[in-house]
Amino acid sequence: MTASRGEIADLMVVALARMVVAGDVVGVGLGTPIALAAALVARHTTRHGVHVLAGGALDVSGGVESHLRHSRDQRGLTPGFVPHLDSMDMAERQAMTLQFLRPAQVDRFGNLNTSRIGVRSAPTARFSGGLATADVPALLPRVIAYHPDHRPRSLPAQVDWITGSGHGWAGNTRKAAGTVAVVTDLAVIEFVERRGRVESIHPWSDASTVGENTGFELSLPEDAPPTPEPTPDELEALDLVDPRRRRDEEVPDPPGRDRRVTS
Amino acid sequence: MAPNPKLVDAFRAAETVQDGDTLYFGGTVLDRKPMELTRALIRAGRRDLDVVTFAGSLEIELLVAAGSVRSVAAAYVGLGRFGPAPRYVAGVKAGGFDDLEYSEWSLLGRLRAASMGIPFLPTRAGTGSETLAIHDFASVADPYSGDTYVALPPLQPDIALLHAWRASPSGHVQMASPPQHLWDIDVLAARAADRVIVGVDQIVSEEAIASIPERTRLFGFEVDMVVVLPGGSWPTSSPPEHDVDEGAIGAYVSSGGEPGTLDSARPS
Repeated sequence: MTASRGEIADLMVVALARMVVAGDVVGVGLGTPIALAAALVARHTTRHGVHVLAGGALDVSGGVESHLRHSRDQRGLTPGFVPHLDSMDMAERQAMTLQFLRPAQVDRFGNLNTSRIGVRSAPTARFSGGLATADVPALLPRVIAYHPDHRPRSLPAQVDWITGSGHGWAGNTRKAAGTVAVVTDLAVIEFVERRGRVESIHPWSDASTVGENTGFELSLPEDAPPTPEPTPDELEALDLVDPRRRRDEEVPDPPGRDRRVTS
Repeated sequence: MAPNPKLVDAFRAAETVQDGDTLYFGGTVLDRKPMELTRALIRAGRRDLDVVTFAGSLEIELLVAAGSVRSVAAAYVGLGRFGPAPRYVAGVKAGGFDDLEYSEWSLLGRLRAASMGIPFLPTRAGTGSETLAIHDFASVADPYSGDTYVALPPLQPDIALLHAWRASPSGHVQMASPPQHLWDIDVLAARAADRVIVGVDQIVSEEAIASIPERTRLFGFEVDMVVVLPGGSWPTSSPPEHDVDEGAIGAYVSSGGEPGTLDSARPS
């Protein structure tokens, strides 16, 4: 069974949105439309007080495109702009509660790599850099990763470089849980007691595909349920917040899982 | 009236930069980059620069292509929606300069410590990160709770180079309203640096500044040099004057990182 980029993007967005709880203030970084769409869908489907801080503006009416506009075109659409240093303080004191991150690699402990492959003095790949990826796992109550191309090199046993530390590490204090989950184009994986546990498998995948495409051993219950398809309410919210389907841009074309590449 | 020593041209501004200086480049990703000041530094032949920027893009490309860089300290270097920064990536892979990757908090926290005039800033941010480990920051025990924090030392650049909307001859600098995303990092870097050079699209009278005082973001006593550079951030944006020139950046990417495509000031 295969899925289109659109189906993958839709299910990843709603799977992320379902992890948002009432009272969350979700910070969204640069150039991550799936994260932005997920936060905005959650704002529609969660009944009480979810707030979205993206591009320096709070709760911009009109969805993903409005959030990506120039600030001068957001007059009348937002209650206000947040200086960046203020938003950093919100994270440090946990007034911001959740961020979705899209790293190049996520490993068995939920460590995140947005930096490089290989050694720092002569890497074989250098990504654009993590901005707050190193910071927020130690600050926010929760960080949730997503990766739209689930394969062993994206989910290795050990990341090539720990930009952001994962779940359950020794220095983790207060209520900062680190990376609590990763949503991929194949499954939803939660990190529990320093181990990845498959919570659900997308309808177009199965346990052996998830296992073969993961570079570390997963706790993979025989009866891991299928990830529920988007509900009518969720589909309506998706159309409302992202009618031009910016979320599809983050899914490889063609989707990685159709290439059946296992390394 | 005597000539104003604060108003200089780009050549004179570049002359005040020494080889080996630590320079903060203002702007973030494709917004407000001090491109014309960067070109002036390259024309002046400055070398061995320790470059610092929160989120770098085309200014880093020009500096790397010119061989002016000893190290690049940044939380991001890329071209935003246009993808990776080709010269920068090639330079890092070839070991052409020291890749001093920072996390957002550690770079901005160091600038904040410098701006506040304090010896260090404690933070929880970045605990467990190898990106933080690059910098060998000390840790510090909270004298009240005993909890351990990363102790970020101040980072005082020798010079901050910014591009902004407009300024008066006495150096009061104004920015667009509503403010562009991440504008406040430019102000932070200016207040952290030893000296500040600001290129502006417009020079206006002190009366014009006073007519909209709510847009003033840096005061004259905080600014050492003002350079009138209309379009000086091209092809990056400069609100409210102009947006990103997407065609020019697309052409740069298509050329594989040919700095000649970015050589001139903004075409009129």
